[in-house]
Amino acid sequence: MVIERELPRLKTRFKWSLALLSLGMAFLPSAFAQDEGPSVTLMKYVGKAQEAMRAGRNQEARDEFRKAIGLAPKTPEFYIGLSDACYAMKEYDQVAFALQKVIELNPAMKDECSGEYGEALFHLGRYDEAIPYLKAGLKYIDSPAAKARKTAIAAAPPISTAPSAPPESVIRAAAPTHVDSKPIPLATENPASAAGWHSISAKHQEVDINKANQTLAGAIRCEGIVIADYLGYEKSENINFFHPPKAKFKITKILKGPPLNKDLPVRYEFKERSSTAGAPAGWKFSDDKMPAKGSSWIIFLEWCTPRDGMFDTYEGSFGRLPADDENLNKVYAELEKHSNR
Amino acid sequence: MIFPARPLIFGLALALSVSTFLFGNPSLAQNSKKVEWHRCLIQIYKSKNMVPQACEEYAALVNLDPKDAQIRFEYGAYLHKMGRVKDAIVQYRKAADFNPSNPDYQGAVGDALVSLKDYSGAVAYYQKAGPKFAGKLSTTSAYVQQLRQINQYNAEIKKRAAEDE
Repeated sequence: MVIERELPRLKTRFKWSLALLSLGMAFLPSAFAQDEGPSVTLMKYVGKAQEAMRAGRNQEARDEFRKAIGLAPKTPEFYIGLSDACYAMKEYDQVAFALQKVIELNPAMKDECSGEYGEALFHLGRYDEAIPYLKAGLKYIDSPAAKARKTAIAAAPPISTAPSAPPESVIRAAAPTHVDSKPIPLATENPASAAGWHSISAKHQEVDINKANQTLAGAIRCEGIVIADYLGYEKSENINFFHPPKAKFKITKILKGPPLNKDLPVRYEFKERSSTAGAPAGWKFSDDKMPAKGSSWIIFLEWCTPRDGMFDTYEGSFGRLPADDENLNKVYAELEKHSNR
Repeated sequence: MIFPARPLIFGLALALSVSTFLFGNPSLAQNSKKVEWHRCLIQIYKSKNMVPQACEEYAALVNLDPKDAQIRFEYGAYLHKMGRVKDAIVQYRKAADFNPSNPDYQGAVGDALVSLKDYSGAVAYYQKAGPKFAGKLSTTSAYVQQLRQINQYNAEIKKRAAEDE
């Protein structure tokens, strides 16, 4: 009975909120405030999240929005998406958290979010705090500002016959990168030299293109970058070059990405992922292959989700750097370069 | 490879805006939001025993959809509980008029009339309520019958006393 009564309300609420979210993304500059690289990944997450919400897979939508927030923690629209997904699952603590962030990041949206925020506070039993927000929400919903927003949505021209699918450009952008068979001019070569392009063309076979990713600029695009102290590793009998141990790190600072648990289990790879070489002759695992306990490391996490209970580092051993001043300076400089300014 | 992020976001967002608008009716959603928020406020005021504020919220809720029998019924129940029986009857009656087939609404009017000692009126509503209120109907009917007999008896006594004098 209660579900029957709640269902249409939830449906209409979701549709209205999704419209607000989408329109917000279209018109608010904060959604554009990412650099060009991560934006495509970001849109993949958001696209997946909205698709999941439409299909009623709210948990998945919540997770995707969280990933998007990890990449763009200062975009209020993603918090709105998160709040909608959590609202559908009645996770009111998360709704309150998300809407509080929206209001923090964009105080101009306070009135717009007041009602939902008040509702979440009500469900959390925070009655005294809820009253002013609920009243403000009711006041706002009848205001000219809310009506103007409604009109703006209504006035949007019908631009797509299959509205649920993202534009083709996004699909193209999200597709796996096409590998060009033509020789790639390498930055280390000088086309103006006497040998010119011919030498480059002749040499390109000898260069390991896979290693092109092994740059700090590439690593900086990881989903997560943290500074962590090495605590030790899980001992096991069959640790070898290609079967690395689970190293235990303790995060001391998150430079980029979502808020992870402080205890960070890392797949401590001994090889660089792109390397085709096998194990060095006579290689045998021993404690000296591991770092000193308590040493501080910069760890680049390609994805902030563990695989088999361990996080992968970017390009294997390449994704671990000692957290000394020089490396930190380089990382901060790169992060600054990729910041939202 | 660099992709133009701004047009991508704009295109996707606009498409979603339009699609969601086509699928949903915003004014309907707005109204359901309002209902929900008023209900939250009512619960808060009830828990804090802030009767005038709760009544104000109920009134606002009724204004949103004056023909919503359930809201009228809930408002009536709250007024009844707070001792404002006459006001409660007004709301109960409207609920019963808007949805005559609901026995609870009819029965609620009957209950409220009983508290005002209007037993005959209550019997009429209990009858409309049907089998769910059969027990109350028989009790109230019997009581009405007894009252009639008492009244007749009293009238008879008065009549005889007058004759004796």
